[in-house]
Amino acid sequence: MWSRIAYAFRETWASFRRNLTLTAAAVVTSAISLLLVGATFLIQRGFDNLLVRWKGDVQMIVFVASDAAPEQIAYIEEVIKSQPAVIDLNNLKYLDKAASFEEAKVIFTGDPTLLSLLTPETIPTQFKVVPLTGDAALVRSLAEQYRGLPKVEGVSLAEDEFQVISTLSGFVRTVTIVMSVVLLGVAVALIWNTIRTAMFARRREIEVMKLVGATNWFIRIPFMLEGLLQGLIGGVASCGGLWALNRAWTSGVAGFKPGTGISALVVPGSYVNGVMVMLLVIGALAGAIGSGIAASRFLDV
Amino acid sequence: MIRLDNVTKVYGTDSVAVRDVSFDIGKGDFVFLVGPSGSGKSTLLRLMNRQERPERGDVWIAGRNINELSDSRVPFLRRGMGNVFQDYKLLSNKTVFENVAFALEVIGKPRHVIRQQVPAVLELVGLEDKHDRLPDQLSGGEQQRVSIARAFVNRPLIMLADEPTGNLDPATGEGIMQLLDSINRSGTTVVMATHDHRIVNMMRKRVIQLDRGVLVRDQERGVYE
Repeated sequence: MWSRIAYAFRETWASFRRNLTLTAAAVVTSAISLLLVGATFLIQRGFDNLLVRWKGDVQMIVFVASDAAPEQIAYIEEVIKSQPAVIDLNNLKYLDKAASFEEAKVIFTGDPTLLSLLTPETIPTQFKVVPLTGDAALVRSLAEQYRGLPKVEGVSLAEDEFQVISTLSGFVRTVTIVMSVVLLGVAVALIWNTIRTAMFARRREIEVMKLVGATNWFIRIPFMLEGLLQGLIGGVASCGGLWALNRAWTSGVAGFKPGTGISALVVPGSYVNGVMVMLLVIGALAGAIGSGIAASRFLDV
Repeated sequence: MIRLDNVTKVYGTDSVAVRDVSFDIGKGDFVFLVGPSGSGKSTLLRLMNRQERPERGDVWIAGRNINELSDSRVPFLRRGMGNVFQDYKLLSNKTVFENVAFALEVIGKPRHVIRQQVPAVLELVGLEDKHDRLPDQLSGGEQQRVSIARAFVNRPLIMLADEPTGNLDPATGEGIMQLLDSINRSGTTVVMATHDHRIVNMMRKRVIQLDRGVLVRDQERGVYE
């Protein structure tokens, strides 16, 4: 058993060194494509942060002052509910101080100064309103009406903040996903080609191996390990790139004036770590599968 | 040990390599497959080690119909066979010792077995003092001896040799035949494809003659004709 494992690693390493140029090309391509995959996730997460308060078709948010008494909050709710023909009462949500604070933590990830000013006691609570009508003018007039109610600090409309970001988010997502899928395909094709070349260079050896009774798996495993290693190295490089990119982005965002909303685009470190692990897994799997297919394809001696 | 029942092999749609061939080869036999180029000798050898499958008929090795063998079992069939080729098929970047050890290594034999069996078989073929040479540093006859050592190191029941003397001068070819004869005497069944008249006539072993894929003669202690 030990001799088989030693054989597989020895052959993998020898082949890796033999095809250095092709290997480098495969590694660089997989690194770039994986970096793009990772960047897609981070960008998406940034947009999600920005849009978190508008989840579930919410079109209007009524902010209630933190010092509002329960009767005053009940009164605002009553006013909102008084128009069941226009407002979807089933989806009307009230976020109390704790829930609003949790949401703020996501939105202001990249703005610790602002976040430190907020406490669960001082944060405004919110009514999330889903209108039944598509009539923007009507929704706007409702907003005007709510703004006049006691203890209402302000009313935000999705139309003002959400639409542009949402469209931009959809566009960026499509572009980055398409590019990363195409590049990932190119990376797998390059790994496939590297393995095919490696197998062609060793066709005589493979022929002898088969004739003396080596199993297909015994022949295939060093090639699969080689592909896996290429994908994994590409993954490690992409993780480095993603880390640098995220760091530059975070410090760039920190330069913006507080309260511009840009701070929501900062992604928490734990999420970045999760994406990095995912990139390593995708890289290793793409490499192993690409080379496994190539190895199987050229094993017919 | 080897039985072919009405075996037909067709390449492509209409190129018949072997047509309705049947014969039996007993354990420990030495058999020559003779005939001109393209008569189907090599195809028969390839059918015996499952590099090819027949369109019709059955190939039996040691009591098993190898056409029914699943692909995953084929390597285990081949571990019981040694293959020798006209062009030796040695790995040029490996030494004599490594070339022979390779056959044991790839079937997962432990190192201590390799260290024991390889020198023994190199001694048998008379190359014990050239174990660290590369194939390029050897003569054709010596390279064929390495190829035979690799085929025999696992002590196979059957040895298939495809024109093993084809690239060698008569004297060297004779030496190779002596080696194959001694391997045969140790109990291994040897099937050798050749069109070397001199060697067939010298050995006087069983001769199976093919002509355009058809078996035309099967004779004990035969000559080439």
